[in-house]
Amino acid sequence: MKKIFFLILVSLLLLSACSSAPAPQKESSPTPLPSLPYCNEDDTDICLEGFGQESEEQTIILLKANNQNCRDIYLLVDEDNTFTCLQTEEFPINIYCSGLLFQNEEEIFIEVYSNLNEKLIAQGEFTIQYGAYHAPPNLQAPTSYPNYPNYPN
Amino acid sequence: MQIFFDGVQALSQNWVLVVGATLVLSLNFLFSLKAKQEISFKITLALFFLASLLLRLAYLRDIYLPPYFDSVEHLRIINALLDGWKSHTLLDSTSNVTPTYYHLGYHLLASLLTLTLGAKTPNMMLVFGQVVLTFIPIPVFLLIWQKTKDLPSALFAALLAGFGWYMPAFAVNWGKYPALLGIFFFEILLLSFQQDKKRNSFTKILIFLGILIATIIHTRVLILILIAYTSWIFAKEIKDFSVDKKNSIIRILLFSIFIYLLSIQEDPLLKLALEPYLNNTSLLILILSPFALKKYPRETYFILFFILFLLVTLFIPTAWALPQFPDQTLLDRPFVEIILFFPLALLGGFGLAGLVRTLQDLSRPYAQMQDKSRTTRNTLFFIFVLLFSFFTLKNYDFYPSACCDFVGYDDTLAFDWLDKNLPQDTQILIAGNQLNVVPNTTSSSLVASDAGIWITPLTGRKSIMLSHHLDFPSQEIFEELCKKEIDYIYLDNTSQSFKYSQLDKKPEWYKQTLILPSTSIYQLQSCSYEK
Repeated sequence: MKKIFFLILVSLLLLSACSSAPAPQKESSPTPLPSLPYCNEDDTDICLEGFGQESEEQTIILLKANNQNCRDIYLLVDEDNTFTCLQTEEFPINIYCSGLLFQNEEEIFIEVYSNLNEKLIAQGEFTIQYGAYHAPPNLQAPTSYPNYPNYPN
Repeated sequence: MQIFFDGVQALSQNWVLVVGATLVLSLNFLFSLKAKQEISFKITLALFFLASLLLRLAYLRDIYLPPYFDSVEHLRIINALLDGWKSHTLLDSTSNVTPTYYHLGYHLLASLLTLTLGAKTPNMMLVFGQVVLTFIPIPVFLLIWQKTKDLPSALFAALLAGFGWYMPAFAVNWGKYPALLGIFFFEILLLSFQQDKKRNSFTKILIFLGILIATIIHTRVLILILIAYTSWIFAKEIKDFSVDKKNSIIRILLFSIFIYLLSIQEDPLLKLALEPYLNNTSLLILILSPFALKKYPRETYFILFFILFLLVTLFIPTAWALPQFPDQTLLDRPFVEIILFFPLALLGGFGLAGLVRTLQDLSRPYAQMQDKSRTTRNTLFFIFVLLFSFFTLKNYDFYPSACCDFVGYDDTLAFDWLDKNLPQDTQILIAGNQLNVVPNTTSSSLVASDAGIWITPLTGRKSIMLSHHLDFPSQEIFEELCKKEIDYIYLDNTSQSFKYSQLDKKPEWYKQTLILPSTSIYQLQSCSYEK
């Protein structure tokens, strides 16, 4: 009996952990929506890697989704611009979304929606910086390792 | 602690591959490890293995594809063999993919693992490489244990083999998977050879098969086996010599090693072989080595001969036997650089065990203190080994090196974009760099120097490699690119990729088509040819 009890308890804890990120928002719920962080700040569920451009005609928004439930998505930028998103075939956690061209340094508001149930997954306000990361450098990255020679010299 | 967390995360994501690779490599110990061992030995070995495994798996945290350009060729061969297994045409596949010998044993084993575990080939290569690295210190641990029965010394030697220097682990950054697997098989052979004093026909056949398999995994392992065997014979002969003769031999041996070390240091390319070993760990081994010589003379002679022969092979050309490789030497510089950890770790292990025995001898007159002093001594040595591991691991880098980890986040997106947006017959220019492994030669080959090398295996688009020093604004180069019917140019922000600034000088020739934070694709414009 004890074993079953613990099994149920552990299962419940696991289930609650799994469902915490993309939980559907009830209208009456006071819980704020999860924000969309930069990946070098928090890459637990879905995060922003940066921005790119395609043929100077489209803006590409680069995302990473470690949470499997956050991969089939689309974006709404500044409320009415839809960005369609693609998972990379070889590395499905890496996602890129294309849409209307925005200017460098322009401030935008990104909302991430699930294609499966149209629910809002995450949102955040960002300043577009083409060709550069906007977030502070990843402090966990090793920095003290000596600069070994490139092979072979 | 973060590193263990990364290791656990990588283990949870790849546990099937890790368990599969561990089981396959464990099979090698069936004939070289006695089942009956002390409990403290079993616990120490198990804890060391598990901790090493987690530390090694942390490498997989942020890596997308196996590093460096060698890996692309390994992937091509493994995939071709995989097709061979699936279509029952393995023999044809083998002869097609490797017309010139290229570490067939490694590729066969990796393809078999990929097939049976249902893995993706790049993932299998990455995980298998880290598991092999985890296994490499184990035979060193066993070799020292078998000879000394001193647990702190065996653990110390294993720590040295695994983490004393940035080699052999750094070799995964060069995609040297066959060399690492070959070295592991060489260690196993040595272990079996040393264990079975009375060899029956079955053992002899096993050893012969082991030599064959190790050679197929990496040809140069055969040279290692010959070096080890010769060193062992020499060490055995010296054992019966007079003290004077022994002293003369040790002087000559040390002097010869010193001369070769000097010669290697003189050559700018060869001296890189010693670079990983110029640290405090080697100094510690140097201090311990007189104790090894005093208490384990035969083993120490073996180690010194082994080191000397390793260094000598760097100067022996193979042109007389293999005219098709005129610039090669018996062992090449990277291989010696990888394997040098092995004799040094053994020397460290025997050195510490020698120190333990010397202290034992010193306390022998005080017989009543023996038991007490033994416990104190063991505790002290364990504390020494733990302190050593703490300081070594603290400064050790377990993550991929920036030198060779070509593929980043942006590259994965660029490959996908390229695959979904560009026609199948597109030709893409990628960056390369001149490689020269062998000293005193003018010949060198162009090898890939950024993530562009992965375009063909992942997207099927043809890539053409040119030096990353290409002068893009020059009319001559532009015409050459047009003549080669290049459609696009692939760039990333690694140090040996093409330079953005060069292409941006001529926007009328090179149009930026895809711009990502650290990767870009430019389209070649204004060429007069029509596709």
